[in-house]
Amino acid sequence: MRTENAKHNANEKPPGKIVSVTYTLKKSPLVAFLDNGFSIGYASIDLLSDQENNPNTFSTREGKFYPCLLEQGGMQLTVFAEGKAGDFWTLELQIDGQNAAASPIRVETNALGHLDFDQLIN
Amino acid sequence: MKALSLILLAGLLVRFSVYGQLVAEDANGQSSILLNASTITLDLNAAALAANWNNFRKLAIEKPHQMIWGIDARGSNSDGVAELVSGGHFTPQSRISGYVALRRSYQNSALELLKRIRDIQDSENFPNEGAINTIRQLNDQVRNIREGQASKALTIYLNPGMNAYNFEQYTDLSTSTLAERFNRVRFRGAFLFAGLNYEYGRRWTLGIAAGFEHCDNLDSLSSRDYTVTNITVIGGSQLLSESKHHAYTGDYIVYNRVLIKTDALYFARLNDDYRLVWNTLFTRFCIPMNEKKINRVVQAGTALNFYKSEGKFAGGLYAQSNDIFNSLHTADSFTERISFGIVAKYAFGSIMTRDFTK
Repeated sequence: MRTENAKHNANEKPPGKIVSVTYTLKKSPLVAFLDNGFSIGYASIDLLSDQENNPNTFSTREGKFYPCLLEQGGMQLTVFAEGKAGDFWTLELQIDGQNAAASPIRVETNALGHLDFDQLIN
Repeated sequence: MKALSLILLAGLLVRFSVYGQLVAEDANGQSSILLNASTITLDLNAAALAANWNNFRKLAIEKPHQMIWGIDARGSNSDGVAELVSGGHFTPQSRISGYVALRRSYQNSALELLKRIRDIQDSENFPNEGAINTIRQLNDQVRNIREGQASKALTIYLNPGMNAYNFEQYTDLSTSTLAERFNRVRFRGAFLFAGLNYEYGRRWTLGIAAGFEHCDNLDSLSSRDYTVTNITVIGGSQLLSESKHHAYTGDYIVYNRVLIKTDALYFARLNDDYRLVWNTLFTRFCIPMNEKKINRVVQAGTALNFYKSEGKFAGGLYAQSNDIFNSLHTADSFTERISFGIVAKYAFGSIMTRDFTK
């Protein structure tokens, strides 16, 4: 619970609650995610350990989930990735076992060859 | 047994050669010429067996430096299955090559900031409001850096390999029997290339590779089907026995050459389902060493390759001159030396591709 006069103190709990998140991330072949460049609700997602046999698909391992911060305005999703024209990634998210309203999210390569995303989602 | 042979072979290569994989090979033999507007033929009857080992999946994560390696082995015969090694020898129509590459990304400052974010996320009291505010600021910095910087990467690689094939050669020298005019030739080739790839932004990937090749001129010989018929007459009846040969005629030469390959790929999105990879200009400079009967040849062309957006190759077209400067004097008119074709497989001779599905 966020209090009205929250002090930005290092030990203060964050404004929001921790929820369990699972995901499936798919990309076209030439997309590369920047190392440490994928976070959901400020939790770092370990893409290397979540990579499936198909190198272009990543998902939470069975029985596992990520504890992520759900803020009042939504959940902060941060992805930094590179790719070529025509490349894309798509992300499906489940929050506490329920599909997130914003899911699936799809991002395509921009003019600079980036597929970045850094905003609150619902 | 075949699987065991493959694994042993892989082990040998890893030990005696370098780690590696040839991923981007020429379309030679993989496509045939578009004869006219209504006739399209694909030379797909040579069924192939291929095996790959590589660490390309690691390319899904961009790091400041990455070592990439792989091994590619393939063989083919008319039955559609192949042994790569038999009795300690390469079998007809087999090829094995290695690939070792070092890839450098130019996203260092962004990657360093992301590492700092990761350290905060891994710290004991996380999550807390102070830490999250810091992460927000660092993410803003990463975004700012990236908004002014197109993606770039440089890859250098070595690509050694060997290939082998057997064929019959027909000579019209006088021989005591017709069957002796057919000689079985065993060719064993080898190559070593060094290459450089530069990726810039969403549009361009440039590649150059140079190397040595121990090769032959089988491509320029003409082949024909022969039937040798033997007739044996006993009493009032005769026995006909036939042996069939597919043989090559002409001056067969085995030689060494320097080969330089360049490619310039342009990426574009066509629609939700398809993307275009246009090899705007590719060149191949073939320079024979110490072999006067073989001419220097410069080939150049352009190729349109279509992919489904998830990466599956959907086909392509190319236009190529096999002899830009008419070194072979095959045709005086430039336009007559141009061939058009369709591509059955990607054909970026000097580009290290990732996991474009074959």
